[in-house]
Amino acid sequence: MSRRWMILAILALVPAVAFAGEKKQDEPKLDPPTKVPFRLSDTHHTIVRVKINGKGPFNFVVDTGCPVMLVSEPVGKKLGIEKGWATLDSLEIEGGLEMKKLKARIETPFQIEGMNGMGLPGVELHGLMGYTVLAKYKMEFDYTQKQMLWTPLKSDPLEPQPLGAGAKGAQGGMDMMVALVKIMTLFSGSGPVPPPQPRGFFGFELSGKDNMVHVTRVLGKSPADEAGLKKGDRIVSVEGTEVRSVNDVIAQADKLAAGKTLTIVVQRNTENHDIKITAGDGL
Amino acid sequence: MKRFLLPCIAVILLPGLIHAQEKPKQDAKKFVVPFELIKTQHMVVNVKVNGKGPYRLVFDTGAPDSLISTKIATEAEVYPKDFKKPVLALFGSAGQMKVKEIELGDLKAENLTAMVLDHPTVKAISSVVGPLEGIIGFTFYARYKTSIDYEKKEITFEPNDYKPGDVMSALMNKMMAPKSVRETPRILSPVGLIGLRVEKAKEDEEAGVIVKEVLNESPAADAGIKAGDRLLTLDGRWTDSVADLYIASGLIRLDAPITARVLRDGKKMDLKLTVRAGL
Repeated sequence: MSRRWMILAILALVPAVAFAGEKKQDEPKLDPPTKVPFRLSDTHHTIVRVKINGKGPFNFVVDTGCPVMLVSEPVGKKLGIEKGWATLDSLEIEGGLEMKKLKARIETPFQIEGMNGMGLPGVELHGLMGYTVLAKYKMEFDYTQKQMLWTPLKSDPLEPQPLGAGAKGAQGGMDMMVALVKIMTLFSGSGPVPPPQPRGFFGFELSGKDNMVHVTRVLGKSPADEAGLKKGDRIVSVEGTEVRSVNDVIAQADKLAAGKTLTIVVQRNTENHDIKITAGDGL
Repeated sequence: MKRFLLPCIAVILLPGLIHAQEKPKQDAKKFVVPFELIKTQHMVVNVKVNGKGPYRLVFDTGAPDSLISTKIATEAEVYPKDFKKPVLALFGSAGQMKVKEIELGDLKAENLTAMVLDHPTVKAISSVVGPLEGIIGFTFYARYKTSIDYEKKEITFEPNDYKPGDVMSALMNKMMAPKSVRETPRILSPVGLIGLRVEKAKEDEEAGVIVKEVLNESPAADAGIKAGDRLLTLDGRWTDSVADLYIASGLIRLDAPITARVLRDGKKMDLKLTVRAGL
């Protein structure tokens, strides 16, 4: 038996939500179309950020496979809302969209619990944004871009229907798999990852041409200025690696948090100089 | 177990694209595919797999891979010739398979992956709304600029050369990475030089971060950002924490004006910021 499919199966966010029928909500008229920034998680889920009742931001998966707005229980706790059906006073979506009085379900889907527990997505997931929100918009997904396009539609989303008595065992043991995968996670030693760190700040501008990289500006009082870097210097190497493009320089520097030192060799008036810049705080 | 352990030797921590897949051989034109909105408010599309079908599948942006039932896998001959079903096949799972061709209306995608699995939730839904044989997920639709219109009940696909990659290999590599690699924090890198120092106190729960310093002659100074401003958004992204600002600054374009929204003396102002190549 392979673990691969198990993990993948819980990644497929088709939560089985059993719920009773609820009344439809009004929606405010919105301006067309809005750029909604998104990120692709390491699990290949499309994440948009929201603020609920002014709190957040929280990370939600854009999930047409989910019939409702599903908010995880820890987020519910932060908002002071108990498990079950709730009306959110406001839902802001990053990029500038806002909804008032939105019906949502406070409940942690086992997929979210499983993925967060393993630290798989690379970002903590707080819930699933499903049909009752998504159907208010015409949505454009384009993974070559950094933003989605959401255009408000005129008609209201339909009321989600309960599966009814005909559907038996909607979870069907999928929730058990989370427990299994969690145990396997223990053995593989995987788990939540440490929080990311900002890159350090150096304070100079670069341009590249004909396989050569030059310093085009050094900001006053910046770490680069204090280390003696000058405008016009040609960067020969960084961390002992020869440099042919701006990206070569950035690739080396991108590993360094504040406090770390970038060692570069520059050519100035035919002479080579060693320069050590200790990264400061900033961007 | 062996089958899964083998591909996991390499150490990769980069999120995103690991394995390139073949891109579709379509011209850059649009394909409009109707969908049915079933009682449970799931989108259902008619799909042919290796020329067989049509089958009804759920279109699911929350699924990183596509999923086909054992029925499709058998009828469309998805199993390799020498394939033996695993002894312990929960939900009929046969793992990830290569699929030669998936068709939605006039749109043909070639060489995709799909999980063979009788997904219990999909089964539960089909017991109410009629047969459903799987899920169309990211590995399919991410190859296109995909537009979903719930009003017209249409999905429009336009090839965009994006290569979805293999999420499973990437995740497995991530999970199997040595402890030292996993515990090294990821560094959040801005795309270029802005020229700012910001702060956010722990007890500060207001939106935005406080600008502590703007360096002379920097892009931030050119944009008119001032020390004491509260930076609320960068290119439309909330900057409510220092980490948020770094993430946002890693997702912008160089040398093109973007909007930095600041709060100054109680007023919101949108400033034009052009970030330049630098560190």
